[in-house]
Amino acid sequence: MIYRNNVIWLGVAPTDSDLQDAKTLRLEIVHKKGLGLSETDTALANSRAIIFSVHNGSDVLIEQATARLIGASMVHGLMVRTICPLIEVDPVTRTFSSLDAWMIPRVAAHGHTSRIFNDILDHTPGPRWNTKLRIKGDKPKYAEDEVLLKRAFHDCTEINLCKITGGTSADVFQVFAELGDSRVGPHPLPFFVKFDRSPKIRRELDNYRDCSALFLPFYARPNLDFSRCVLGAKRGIIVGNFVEHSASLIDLANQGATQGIVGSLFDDALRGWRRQAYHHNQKPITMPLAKSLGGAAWQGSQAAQKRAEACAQQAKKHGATMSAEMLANRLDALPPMTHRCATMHGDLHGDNVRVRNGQAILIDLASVGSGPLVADPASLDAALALQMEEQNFAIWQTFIDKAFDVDALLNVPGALLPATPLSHIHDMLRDIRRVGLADQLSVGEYAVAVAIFLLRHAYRKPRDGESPGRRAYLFSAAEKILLGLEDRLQAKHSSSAQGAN
Amino acid sequence: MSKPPTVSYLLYVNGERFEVPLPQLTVNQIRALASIAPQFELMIEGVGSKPDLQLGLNDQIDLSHGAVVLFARPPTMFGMARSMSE
Repeated sequence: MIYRNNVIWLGVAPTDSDLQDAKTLRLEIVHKKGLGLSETDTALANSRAIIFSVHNGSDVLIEQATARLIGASMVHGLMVRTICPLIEVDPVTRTFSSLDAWMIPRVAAHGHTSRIFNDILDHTPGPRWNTKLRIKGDKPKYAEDEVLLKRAFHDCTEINLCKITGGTSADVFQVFAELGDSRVGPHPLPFFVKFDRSPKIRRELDNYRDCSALFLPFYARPNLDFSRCVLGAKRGIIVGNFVEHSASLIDLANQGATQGIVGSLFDDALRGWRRQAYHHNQKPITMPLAKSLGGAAWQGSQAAQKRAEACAQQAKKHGATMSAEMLANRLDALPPMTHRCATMHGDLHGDNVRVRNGQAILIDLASVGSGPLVADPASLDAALALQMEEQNFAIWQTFIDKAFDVDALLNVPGALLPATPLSHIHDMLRDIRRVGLADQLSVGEYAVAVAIFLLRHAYRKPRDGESPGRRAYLFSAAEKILLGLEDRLQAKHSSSAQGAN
Repeated sequence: MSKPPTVSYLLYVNGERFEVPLPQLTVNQIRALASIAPQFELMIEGVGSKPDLQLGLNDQIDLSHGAVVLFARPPTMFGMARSMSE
Protein backbone atom coordinates (compact mmCIF):
# COMPACT_ATOMS: atom_id res chain seq x y z
CA MET A 1 0.00 0.00 0.00
CA ILE A 2 1.45 3.39 -0.97
CA TYR A 3 0.91 6.18 1.54
CA ARG A 4 -1.24 9.03 0.11
CA ASN A 5 -1.53 7.42 -3.32
CA ASN A 6 -4.43 9.50 -4.70
CA VAL A 7 -3.81 11.75 -7.69
CA ILE A 8 -6.47 14.43 -8.13
CA TRP A 9 -7.09 14.98 -11.83
CA LEU A 10 -8.99 18.15 -12.79
CA GLY A 11 -10.24 19.20 -16.23
CA VAL A 12 -9.94 17.18 -19.47
CA ALA A 13 -10.59 13.54 -18.51
CA PRO A 14 -7.68 11.09 -18.38
CA THR A 15 -7.43 8.58 -21.23
CA ASP A 16 -7.59 4.84 -20.70
CA SER A 17 -3.86 4.76 -21.22
CA ASP A 18 -3.36 7.38 -18.47
CA LEU A 19 -5.49 5.34 -16.09
CA GLN A 20 -3.60 2.16 -16.94
CA ASP A 21 -0.20 3.86 -16.45
CA ALA A 22 -1.27 5.17 -13.06
CA LYS A 23 -2.67 1.82 -12.01
CA THR A 24 0.58 0.08 -12.91
CA LEU A 25 2.36 2.35 -10.43
CA ARG A 26 -0.39 1.77 -7.83
CA LEU A 27 -1.55 5.38 -8.04
CA GLU A 28 -5.27 6.08 -7.82
CA ILE A 29 -6.57 8.78 -10.16
CA VAL A 30 -9.50 10.70 -8.70
CA HIS A 31 -11.04 12.59 -11.61
CA LYS A 32 -12.95 15.67 -10.50
CA LYS A 33 -14.83 17.97 -12.78
CA GLY A 34 -15.86 20.46 -10.15
CA LEU A 35 -13.32 22.66 -8.43
CA GLY A 36 -14.59 23.44 -4.94
CA LEU A 37 -11.31 22.31 -3.33
CA SER A 38 -9.89 24.40 -0.53
CA GLU A 39 -7.07 24.18 1.99
CA THR A 40 -9.45 22.45 4.38
CA ASP A 41 -10.50 19.78 1.91
CA THR A 42 -9.67 16.28 3.05
CA ALA A 43 -9.28 15.26 -0.60
CA LEU A 44 -6.11 17.37 -0.72
CA ALA A 45 -4.85 16.12 2.62
CA ASN A 46 -5.14 12.50 1.42
CA SER A 47 -3.53 12.97 -1.99
CA ARG A 48 -0.02 12.87 -3.37
CA ALA A 49 -0.42 15.07 -6.44
CA ILE A 50 -2.83 17.22 -8.40
CA ILE A 51 -2.93 17.43 -12.19
CA PHE A 52 -4.60 20.25 -14.12
CA SER A 53 -5.43 18.89 -17.54
CA VAL A 54 -6.32 21.79 -19.86
CA HIS A 55 -7.05 22.46 -23.53
CA ASN A 56 -5.14 25.72 -23.85
CA GLY A 57 -3.77 28.80 -22.08
CA SER A 58 -7.18 30.45 -21.78
CA ASP A 59 -8.80 27.46 -20.05
CA VAL A 60 -10.80 28.71 -17.05
CA LEU A 61 -9.22 25.99 -14.92
CA ILE A 62 -5.82 27.68 -15.17
CA GLU A 63 -7.21 30.91 -13.78
CA GLN A 64 -8.70 29.11 -10.82
CA ALA A 65 -5.60 27.03 -10.32
CA THR A 66 -3.41 30.11 -10.26
CA ALA A 67 -5.72 32.02 -7.95
CA ARG A 68 -6.24 29.34 -5.32
CA LEU A 69 -5.82 25.67 -6.08
CA ILE A 70 -2.06 25.52 -6.61
CA GLY A 71 -1.47 27.26 -3.28
CA ALA A 72 -4.06 25.12 -1.46
CA SER A 73 -2.48 21.94 -2.84
CA MET A 74 1.08 22.91 -1.96
CA VAL A 75 0.08 23.67 1.63
CA HIS A 76 -0.69 19.94 1.93
CA GLY A 77 2.53 18.88 0.20
CA LEU A 78 1.01 17.85 -3.14
CA MET A 79 3.08 17.79 -6.30
CA VAL A 80 1.40 20.04 -8.88
CA ARG A 81 1.53 19.36 -12.62
CA THR A 82 -0.28 20.79 -15.64
CA ILE A 83 -0.82 18.91 -18.88
CA CYS A 84 -1.97 20.31 -22.21
CA PRO A 85 -1.56 19.64 -25.95
CA LEU A 86 2.08 19.99 -27.11
CA ILE A 87 1.26 23.02 -29.26
CA GLU A 88 -0.22 24.86 -26.23
CA VAL A 89 2.76 24.36 -23.90
CA ASP A 90 4.16 27.88 -24.31
CA PRO A 91 0.86 29.81 -23.85
CA VAL A 92 0.00 27.64 -20.83
CA THR A 93 3.46 28.17 -19.30
CA ARG A 94 3.06 31.94 -19.72
CA THR A 95 -0.22 31.98 -17.76
CA PHE A 96 1.66 30.99 -14.60
CA SER A 97 4.03 33.95 -14.76
CA SER A 98 2.18 35.79 -11.96
CA LEU A 99 3.04 33.04 -9.45
CA ASP A 100 6.13 32.98 -7.25
CA ALA A 101 8.88 31.09 -9.09
CA TRP A 102 8.84 28.09 -6.74
CA MET A 103 5.06 27.66 -7.15
CA ILE A 104 5.01 27.49 -10.96
CA PRO A 105 3.92 23.96 -11.91
CA ARG A 106 5.82 22.02 -14.53
CA VAL A 107 3.89 21.58 -17.77
CA ALA A 108 3.77 18.28 -19.65
CA ALA A 109 2.31 17.31 -23.00
CA HIS A 110 -0.85 15.21 -23.35
CA GLY A 111 0.03 11.67 -24.26
CA HIS A 112 3.28 11.71 -22.26
CA THR A 113 1.88 11.33 -18.76
CA SER A 114 3.75 8.16 -17.78
CA ARG A 115 6.76 10.29 -16.88
CA ILE A 116 4.58 12.47 -14.66
CA PHE A 117 3.35 9.42 -12.80
CA ASN A 118 6.95 8.33 -12.20
CA ASP A 119 7.73 11.80 -10.82
CA ILE A 120 4.64 11.60 -8.61
CA LEU A 121 5.69 8.23 -7.28
CA ASP A 122 9.11 9.66 -6.38
CA HIS A 123 7.52 12.64 -4.66
CA THR A 124 7.24 12.53 -0.86
CA PRO A 125 4.13 14.46 0.18
CA GLY A 126 4.97 14.29 3.89
CA PRO A 127 2.47 13.63 6.64
CA ARG A 128 -1.21 14.47 6.21
CA TRP A 129 -2.58 17.00 8.64
CA ASN A 130 -4.14 16.12 11.95
CA THR A 131 -7.29 18.23 12.15
CA LYS A 132 -7.81 17.29 15.80
CA LEU A 133 -4.48 18.70 17.00
CA ARG A 134 -4.97 21.30 19.76
CA ILE A 135 -2.62 24.27 19.35
CA LYS A 136 -2.05 26.30 22.51
CA GLY A 137 0.19 29.17 23.59
CA ASP A 138 1.67 31.77 21.23
CA LYS A 139 0.16 31.96 17.76
CA PRO A 140 2.18 31.67 14.56
CA LYS A 141 1.98 34.62 12.20
CA TYR A 142 0.17 33.14 9.17
CA ALA A 143 -2.84 30.87 8.66
CA GLU A 144 -0.66 28.57 6.55
CA ASP A 145 1.66 28.06 9.53
CA GLU A 146 -1.18 26.41 11.44
CA VAL A 147 -1.74 23.88 8.66
CA LEU A 148 2.00 23.17 8.63
CA LEU A 149 1.94 22.63 12.40
CA LYS A 150 -0.94 20.19 12.00
CA ARG A 151 1.12 18.28 9.44
CA ALA A 152 4.42 18.40 11.35
CA PHE A 153 2.81 17.25 14.61
CA HIS A 154 0.36 14.82 12.98
CA ASP A 155 1.04 12.20 15.66
CA CYS A 156 0.33 14.52 18.59
CA THR A 157 -2.85 15.41 20.42
CA GLU A 158 -1.69 18.82 21.65
CA ILE A 159 1.17 21.25 21.23
CA ASN A 160 2.07 24.33 23.24
CA LEU A 161 4.06 27.09 21.52
CA CYS A 162 6.40 29.59 23.24
CA LYS A 163 7.78 32.24 20.90
CA ILE A 164 11.52 32.84 21.04
CA THR A 165 12.67 36.39 20.41
CA GLY A 166 15.96 37.37 18.82
CA GLY A 167 15.69 36.30 15.18
CA THR A 168 14.90 38.73 12.39
CA SER A 169 12.93 37.31 9.47
CA ALA A 170 12.01 33.88 10.82
CA ASP A 171 9.50 32.97 13.53
CA VAL A 172 10.99 30.56 16.05
CA PHE A 173 9.17 28.72 18.83
CA GLN A 174 9.91 26.25 21.55
CA VAL A 175 7.20 23.58 21.32
CA PHE A 176 6.02 21.22 24.04
CA ALA A 177 4.11 18.35 22.47
CA GLU A 178 1.84 15.62 23.74
CA LEU A 179 2.19 12.48 21.64
CA GLY A 180 -0.92 10.50 20.77
CA ASP A 181 0.58 7.04 20.93
CA SER A 182 4.12 6.43 22.07
CA ARG A 183 5.49 3.37 23.89
CA VAL A 184 7.65 5.66 26.05
CA GLY A 185 4.98 8.10 27.15
CA PRO A 186 3.14 11.18 25.93
CA HIS A 187 5.73 13.88 26.71
CA PRO A 188 8.83 14.07 24.45
CA LEU A 189 11.65 16.55 25.05
CA PRO A 190 10.83 20.01 23.67
CA PHE A 191 11.14 20.78 19.96
CA PHE A 192 12.25 23.93 18.24
CA VAL A 193 10.09 25.04 15.35
CA LYS A 194 11.08 27.61 12.76
CA PHE A 195 8.76 29.12 10.15
CA ASP A 196 9.96 31.14 7.19
CA ARG A 197 9.28 31.63 3.50
CA SER A 198 9.15 28.34 1.65
CA PRO A 199 12.31 28.83 -0.51
CA LYS A 200 14.33 29.85 2.56
CA ILE A 201 13.22 26.79 4.49
CA ARG A 202 13.98 24.58 1.49
CA ARG A 203 17.49 26.06 1.27
CA GLU A 204 18.09 25.63 4.99
CA LEU A 205 16.95 22.00 4.88
CA ASP A 206 19.32 21.39 1.96
CA ASN A 207 22.10 22.99 3.99
CA TYR A 208 21.36 20.73 6.96
CA ARG A 209 21.34 17.64 4.73
CA ASP A 210 24.47 18.50 2.76
CA CYS A 211 26.66 20.32 5.26
CA SER A 212 25.63 19.40 8.76
CA ALA A 213 25.59 15.71 9.68
CA LEU A 214 29.04 14.79 8.37
CA PHE A 215 30.80 18.05 9.25
CA LEU A 216 29.37 19.56 12.42
CA PRO A 217 29.79 17.57 15.65
CA PHE A 218 26.42 16.19 16.80
CA TYR A 219 26.75 18.06 20.10
CA ALA A 220 27.38 21.39 18.33
CA ARG A 221 24.18 21.69 16.27
CA PRO A 222 20.47 21.08 16.64
CA ASN A 223 19.34 17.74 15.25
CA LEU A 224 16.43 18.02 12.87
CA ASP A 225 13.47 15.68 12.72
CA PHE A 226 13.26 15.60 8.93
CA SER A 227 9.99 13.66 8.96
CA ARG A 228 8.37 16.71 10.57
CA CYS A 229 9.96 19.35 8.32
CA VAL A 230 7.47 20.24 5.61
CA LEU A 231 7.12 22.81 2.87
CA GLY A 232 3.86 24.55 2.05
CA ALA A 233 3.00 27.06 -0.66
CA LYS A 234 4.38 30.32 0.71
CA ARG A 235 5.72 29.01 4.04
CA GLY A 236 7.77 26.14 5.36
CA ILE A 237 8.54 24.66 8.77
CA ILE A 238 11.70 23.18 10.28
CA VAL A 239 11.37 20.99 13.37
CA GLY A 240 14.26 19.75 15.49
CA ASN A 241 15.20 19.10 19.07
CA PHE A 242 15.42 22.23 21.19
CA VAL A 243 18.86 23.12 22.53
CA GLU A 244 17.96 23.07 26.22
CA HIS A 245 19.87 24.55 29.16
CA SER A 246 21.80 26.92 26.92
CA ALA A 247 22.34 30.68 26.65
CA SER A 248 22.97 32.81 23.60
CA LEU A 249 26.54 33.85 22.92
CA ILE A 250 25.57 37.53 23.02
CA ASP A 251 24.06 37.17 26.52
CA LEU A 252 27.26 35.55 27.75
CA ALA A 253 29.39 38.17 25.97
CA ASN A 254 27.49 40.91 27.75
CA GLN A 255 28.16 39.17 31.06
CA GLY A 256 31.86 38.75 30.20
CA ALA A 257 31.50 34.97 30.42
CA THR A 258 32.88 33.86 27.06
CA GLN A 259 36.29 32.51 28.08
CA GLY A 260 37.17 29.60 25.81
CA ILE A 261 33.96 29.82 23.81
CA VAL A 262 35.47 31.42 20.71
CA GLY A 263 37.89 28.48 20.57
CA SER A 264 35.02 26.04 21.00
CA LEU A 265 33.18 27.75 18.16
CA PHE A 266 35.92 28.00 15.54
CA ASP A 267 38.19 25.10 16.50
CA ASP A 268 35.50 22.59 17.38
CA ALA A 269 31.97 23.36 16.17
CA LEU A 270 33.12 24.80 12.83
CA ARG A 271 36.29 22.77 12.32
CA GLY A 272 34.72 20.32 9.86
CA TRP A 273 34.07 23.19 7.44
CA ARG A 274 37.03 25.43 8.15
CA ARG A 275 39.77 22.80 7.94
CA GLN A 276 38.77 21.97 4.38
CA ALA A 277 40.47 25.26 3.43
CA TYR A 278 43.86 23.72 4.23
CA HIS A 279 43.41 20.41 2.44
CA HIS A 280 45.48 19.66 -0.63
CA ASN A 281 42.86 20.39 -3.28
CA GLN A 282 41.65 23.65 -1.75
CA LYS A 283 44.14 26.10 -3.16
CA PRO A 284 43.89 29.75 -2.07
CA ILE A 285 42.25 31.96 -4.67
CA THR A 286 43.11 35.48 -5.74
CA MET A 287 40.26 37.90 -6.31
CA PRO A 288 38.73 40.92 -4.58
CA LEU A 289 37.51 39.74 -1.19
CA ALA A 290 34.13 41.40 -1.71
CA LYS A 291 33.63 39.37 -4.88
CA SER A 292 34.42 36.20 -2.96
CA LEU A 293 31.60 37.21 -0.59
CA GLY A 294 29.15 37.78 -3.45
CA GLY A 295 29.62 41.58 -3.43
CA ALA A 296 29.96 44.00 -0.52
CA ALA A 297 26.30 45.04 -0.57
CA TRP A 298 23.76 42.73 1.01
CA GLN A 299 21.70 41.25 -1.81
CA GLY A 300 18.29 42.09 -0.44
CA SER A 301 15.06 43.63 -1.64
CA GLN A 302 14.53 47.22 -2.78
CA ALA A 303 13.37 47.98 0.77
CA ALA A 304 16.78 46.83 2.02
CA GLN A 305 18.51 49.18 -0.43
CA LYS A 306 16.35 52.03 0.85
CA ARG A 307 17.19 51.19 4.47
CA ALA A 308 20.89 51.24 3.60
CA GLU A 309 20.68 54.63 1.90
CA ALA A 310 18.70 56.06 4.85
CA CYS A 311 21.39 54.72 7.17
CA ALA A 312 24.12 56.32 5.01
CA GLN A 313 22.22 59.60 5.27
CA GLN A 314 22.13 59.35 9.07
CA ALA A 315 25.83 58.44 9.11
CA LYS A 316 26.66 61.84 7.66
CA LYS A 317 26.35 63.36 11.14
CA HIS A 318 29.15 61.00 12.20
CA GLY A 319 31.40 62.22 9.40
CA ALA A 320 30.52 59.68 6.70
CA THR A 321 30.45 61.08 3.18
CA MET A 322 29.46 58.16 0.96
CA SER A 323 26.15 56.66 -0.03
CA ALA A 324 25.64 52.95 0.68
CA GLU A 325 26.00 52.17 -3.00
CA MET A 326 29.23 54.15 -3.23
CA LEU A 327 30.72 52.48 -0.16
CA ALA A 328 29.79 49.04 -1.51
CA ASN A 329 31.29 49.87 -4.90
CA ARG A 330 34.54 51.11 -3.32
CA LEU A 331 34.81 47.92 -1.25
CA ASP A 332 34.10 45.87 -4.38
CA ALA A 333 36.86 47.76 -6.21
CA LEU A 334 39.64 47.01 -3.71
CA PRO A 335 42.52 45.09 -5.34
CA PRO A 336 42.45 41.28 -5.52
CA MET A 337 43.72 39.47 -2.42
CA THR A 338 44.94 35.92 -2.14
CA HIS A 339 42.75 34.18 0.43
CA ARG A 340 41.55 30.79 1.60
CA CYS A 341 37.97 29.69 1.09
CA ALA A 342 35.77 27.16 2.85
CA THR A 343 32.16 26.54 3.74
CA MET A 344 30.96 29.32 6.01
CA HIS A 345 27.95 29.75 8.28
CA GLY A 346 27.18 33.03 6.52
CA ASP A 347 25.15 34.66 9.30
CA LEU A 348 27.26 34.26 12.40
CA HIS A 349 26.06 36.58 15.15
CA GLY A 350 25.48 36.47 18.88
CA ASP A 351 22.03 34.89 18.64
CA ASN A 352 23.01 32.19 16.16
CA VAL A 353 25.45 30.61 18.58
CA ARG A 354 24.11 28.97 21.73
CA VAL A 355 26.40 27.90 24.56
CA ARG A 356 25.90 24.96 26.92
CA ASN A 357 28.54 24.02 29.50
CA GLY A 358 31.17 26.00 27.58
CA GLN A 359 30.35 24.26 24.28
CA ALA A 360 29.36 26.44 21.31
CA ILE A 361 26.30 25.17 19.42
CA LEU A 362 25.51 26.52 15.95
CA ILE A 363 21.96 27.27 14.95
CA ASP A 364 20.29 28.71 11.83
CA LEU A 365 22.03 27.21 8.82
CA ALA A 366 19.92 29.21 6.33
CA SER A 367 22.89 31.16 4.92
CA VAL A 368 25.52 28.43 4.69
CA GLY A 369 27.64 28.75 1.56
CA SER A 370 31.16 28.94 0.26
CA GLY A 371 33.23 32.02 1.08
CA PRO A 372 36.47 33.40 2.49
CA LEU A 373 37.76 31.70 5.62
CA VAL A 374 37.89 35.06 7.38
CA ALA A 375 34.16 35.66 6.75
CA ASP A 376 32.68 33.94 9.81
CA PRO A 377 35.02 35.52 12.39
CA ALA A 378 34.54 38.91 10.68
CA SER A 379 30.76 38.48 10.71
CA LEU A 380 30.77 37.68 14.45
CA ASP A 381 33.15 40.59 15.10
CA ALA A 382 30.85 43.06 13.30
CA ALA A 383 27.75 41.57 14.94
CA LEU A 384 29.24 42.05 18.39
CA ALA A 385 29.73 45.74 17.62
CA LEU A 386 26.00 46.03 16.97
CA GLN A 387 24.64 43.69 19.62
CA MET A 388 26.80 44.48 22.69
CA GLU A 389 24.93 45.90 25.65
CA GLU A 390 25.81 49.50 26.57
CA GLN A 391 23.16 52.06 27.36
CA ASN A 392 25.50 55.04 27.12
CA PHE A 393 25.91 55.86 23.43
CA ALA A 394 29.05 57.96 24.02
CA ILE A 395 30.84 55.08 25.76
CA TRP A 396 29.82 52.70 22.99
CA GLN A 397 31.01 55.21 20.36
CA THR A 398 34.41 55.59 22.01
CA PHE A 399 34.74 51.82 22.15
CA ILE A 400 33.85 51.41 18.47
CA ASP A 401 36.29 54.16 17.44
CA LYS A 402 39.15 52.26 19.04
CA ALA A 403 38.10 48.67 18.38
CA PHE A 404 37.21 49.27 14.73
CA ASP A 405 40.11 51.49 13.82
CA VAL A 406 41.89 49.96 10.84
CA ASP A 407 45.05 49.31 12.90
CA ALA A 408 43.04 47.25 15.38
CA LEU A 409 41.94 45.06 12.46
CA LEU A 410 45.42 44.54 11.02
CA ASN A 411 46.96 43.17 14.21
CA VAL A 412 45.40 41.70 17.33
CA PRO A 413 44.73 44.74 19.55
CA GLY A 414 46.36 44.92 22.97
CA ALA A 415 44.48 44.19 26.18
CA LEU A 416 42.61 46.95 28.03
CA LEU A 417 42.84 47.68 31.71
CA PRO A 418 40.18 45.64 33.53
CA ALA A 419 38.29 48.73 34.71
CA THR A 420 37.92 50.16 31.19
CA PRO A 421 34.28 50.18 30.05
CA LEU A 422 33.44 47.24 27.78
CA SER A 423 36.80 45.57 28.41
CA HIS A 424 34.99 42.20 28.52
CA ILE A 425 33.74 42.78 24.95
CA HIS A 426 37.22 43.88 23.94
CA ASP A 427 38.59 40.58 25.29
CA MET A 428 36.14 38.65 23.18
CA LEU A 429 37.03 40.70 20.08
CA ARG A 430 40.68 39.85 20.74
CA ASP A 431 39.78 36.14 20.80
CA ILE A 432 37.85 36.42 17.54
CA ARG A 433 40.59 38.43 15.81
CA ARG A 434 43.23 35.90 16.82
CA VAL A 435 41.26 33.44 14.72
CA GLY A 436 40.45 35.81 11.86
CA LEU A 437 43.94 37.25 11.52
CA ALA A 438 45.48 33.78 11.66
CA ASP A 439 43.21 32.78 8.76
CA GLN A 440 44.29 35.60 6.49
CA LEU A 441 46.90 35.25 3.76
CA SER A 442 46.94 38.89 2.63
CA VAL A 443 47.41 41.96 4.78
CA GLY A 444 44.07 43.72 5.22
CA GLU A 445 41.95 40.69 4.30
CA TYR A 446 40.27 40.53 7.69
CA ALA A 447 39.78 44.30 7.84
CA VAL A 448 37.99 44.29 4.47
CA ALA A 449 35.71 41.49 5.62
CA VAL A 450 34.82 43.37 8.83
CA ALA A 451 34.09 46.56 6.83
CA ILE A 452 31.77 44.58 4.55
CA PHE A 453 29.83 43.09 7.46
CA LEU A 454 29.58 46.50 9.17
CA LEU A 455 28.18 47.92 5.94
CA ARG A 456 25.70 45.04 5.62
CA HIS A 457 24.14 45.97 8.99
CA ALA A 458 22.76 49.02 7.18
CA TYR A 459 20.65 46.82 4.88
CA ARG A 460 18.99 44.76 7.59
CA LYS A 461 15.87 45.54 9.60
CA PRO A 462 16.60 46.73 13.15
CA ARG A 463 16.10 44.07 15.81
CA ASP A 464 13.62 44.41 18.66
CA GLY A 465 15.04 46.62 21.42
CA GLU A 466 18.08 47.66 19.40
CA SER A 467 19.79 50.92 20.37
CA PRO A 468 18.88 53.48 17.71
CA GLY A 469 21.68 55.10 15.73
CA ARG A 470 24.13 52.22 16.05
CA ARG A 471 23.83 51.02 12.47
CA ALA A 472 24.51 54.53 11.14
CA TYR A 473 27.58 54.84 13.32
CA LEU A 474 28.84 51.42 12.21
CA PHE A 475 28.32 52.52 8.60
CA SER A 476 30.68 55.45 9.28
CA ALA A 477 33.13 53.01 10.91
CA ALA A 478 33.03 50.84 7.74
CA GLU A 479 33.81 53.91 5.65
CA LYS A 480 36.76 54.82 7.90
CA ILE A 481 38.17 51.29 7.57
CA LEU A 482 37.88 51.52 3.78
CA LEU A 483 39.61 54.92 3.68
CA GLY A 484 42.35 53.66 6.01
CA LEU A 485 42.95 50.65 3.77
CA GLU A 486 42.97 52.77 0.62
CA ASP A 487 45.54 55.14 2.21
CA ARG A 488 47.79 52.22 3.08
CA LEU A 489 47.50 50.79 -0.42
CA GLN A 490 48.30 54.18 -1.91
CA ALA A 491 51.32 54.60 0.36
CA LYS A 492 52.52 51.09 -0.53
CA HIS A 493 52.08 51.82 -4.23
CA SER A 494 54.01 55.15 -3.94
CA SER A 495 56.88 53.59 -2.02
CA SER A 496 57.21 50.72 -4.50
CA ALA A 497 57.14 53.24 -7.38
CA GLN A 498 59.93 55.24 -5.69
CA GLY A 499 61.89 52.04 -5.15
CA ALA A 500 61.61 51.28 -8.87
CA ASN A 501 62.97 54.74 -9.72
CA MET B 1 -11.65 7.59 -48.24
CA SER B 2 -8.55 6.93 -46.20
CA LYS B 3 -7.06 9.54 -43.85
CA PRO B 4 -3.99 11.41 -45.16
CA PRO B 5 -0.83 10.08 -43.49
CA THR B 6 0.14 12.09 -40.38
CA VAL B 7 3.51 13.77 -40.78
CA SER B 8 5.70 13.28 -37.77
CA TYR B 9 9.12 14.61 -36.87
CA LEU B 10 11.73 12.86 -34.86
CA LEU B 11 13.90 13.84 -31.92
CA TYR B 12 15.83 12.04 -29.20
CA VAL B 13 16.08 13.37 -25.66
CA ASN B 14 18.40 11.59 -23.22
CA GLY B 15 18.45 8.64 -25.58
CA GLU B 16 14.67 8.36 -25.77
CA ARG B 17 12.87 8.61 -29.10
CA PHE B 18 9.98 11.04 -29.57
CA GLU B 19 7.77 11.50 -32.62
CA VAL B 20 5.98 14.82 -32.73
CA PRO B 21 3.57 16.41 -35.22
CA LEU B 22 5.37 19.79 -35.19
CA PRO B 23 8.37 20.70 -37.40
CA GLN B 24 9.70 23.16 -34.83
CA LEU B 25 9.76 22.88 -31.05
CA THR B 26 10.44 25.46 -28.36
CA VAL B 27 12.55 24.69 -25.32
CA ASN B 28 9.41 24.61 -23.15
CA GLN B 29 7.83 22.06 -25.48
CA ILE B 30 10.90 19.82 -25.34
CA ARG B 31 10.89 20.03 -21.55
CA ALA B 32 7.17 19.20 -21.47
CA LEU B 33 7.67 16.27 -23.79
CA ALA B 34 10.56 14.63 -21.97
CA SER B 35 9.74 15.85 -18.43
CA ILE B 36 12.98 17.78 -17.99
CA ALA B 37 13.23 19.74 -14.73
CA PRO B 38 13.63 23.51 -15.16
CA GLN B 39 17.03 23.61 -13.44
CA PHE B 40 18.52 21.22 -16.03
CA GLU B 41 20.13 22.74 -19.11
CA LEU B 42 19.09 21.43 -22.51
CA MET B 43 21.92 20.68 -24.92
CA ILE B 44 21.99 19.76 -28.61
CA GLU B 45 24.54 17.06 -29.17
CA GLY B 46 27.20 18.20 -31.65
CA VAL B 47 27.77 15.98 -34.67
CA GLY B 48 31.35 14.90 -35.38
CA SER B 49 33.78 17.55 -34.17
CA LYS B 50 31.06 20.15 -33.60
CA PRO B 51 30.71 21.14 -29.95
CA ASP B 52 27.53 20.53 -27.98
CA LEU B 53 25.27 23.57 -28.00
CA GLN B 54 23.33 24.85 -25.01
CA LEU B 55 19.75 25.94 -25.75
CA GLY B 56 18.54 29.27 -24.39
CA LEU B 57 15.07 29.93 -22.98
CA ASN B 58 13.77 31.36 -26.26
CA ASP B 59 15.50 29.02 -28.68
CA GLN B 60 13.65 26.74 -31.08
CA ILE B 61 14.87 23.58 -32.78
CA ASP B 62 14.06 22.72 -36.35
CA LEU B 63 13.16 19.09 -36.95
CA SER B 64 12.26 19.42 -40.62
CA HIS B 65 15.79 18.52 -41.81
CA GLY B 66 16.06 15.33 -39.80
CA ALA B 67 16.20 14.02 -36.27
CA VAL B 68 17.83 16.15 -33.59
CA VAL B 69 19.61 14.62 -30.62
CA LEU B 70 19.39 16.42 -27.28
CA PHE B 71 20.35 15.72 -23.72
CA ALA B 72 19.67 17.38 -20.38
CA ARG B 73 22.53 18.43 -18.17
CA PRO B 74 22.32 19.17 -14.45
CA PRO B 75 23.51 22.64 -13.37
CA THR B 76 27.27 22.58 -12.78
CA MET B 77 30.08 24.94 -11.80
CA PHE B 78 33.10 22.84 -12.76
CA GLY B 79 36.35 24.71 -12.28
CA MET B 80 34.64 27.89 -11.11
CA ALA B 81 37.09 28.71 -8.32
CA ARG B 82 40.09 28.21 -10.56
CA SER B 83 38.76 30.24 -13.47
CA MET B 84 37.87 33.12 -11.14
CA SER B 85 41.38 33.19 -9.73
CA GLU B 86 43.01 33.17 -13.16
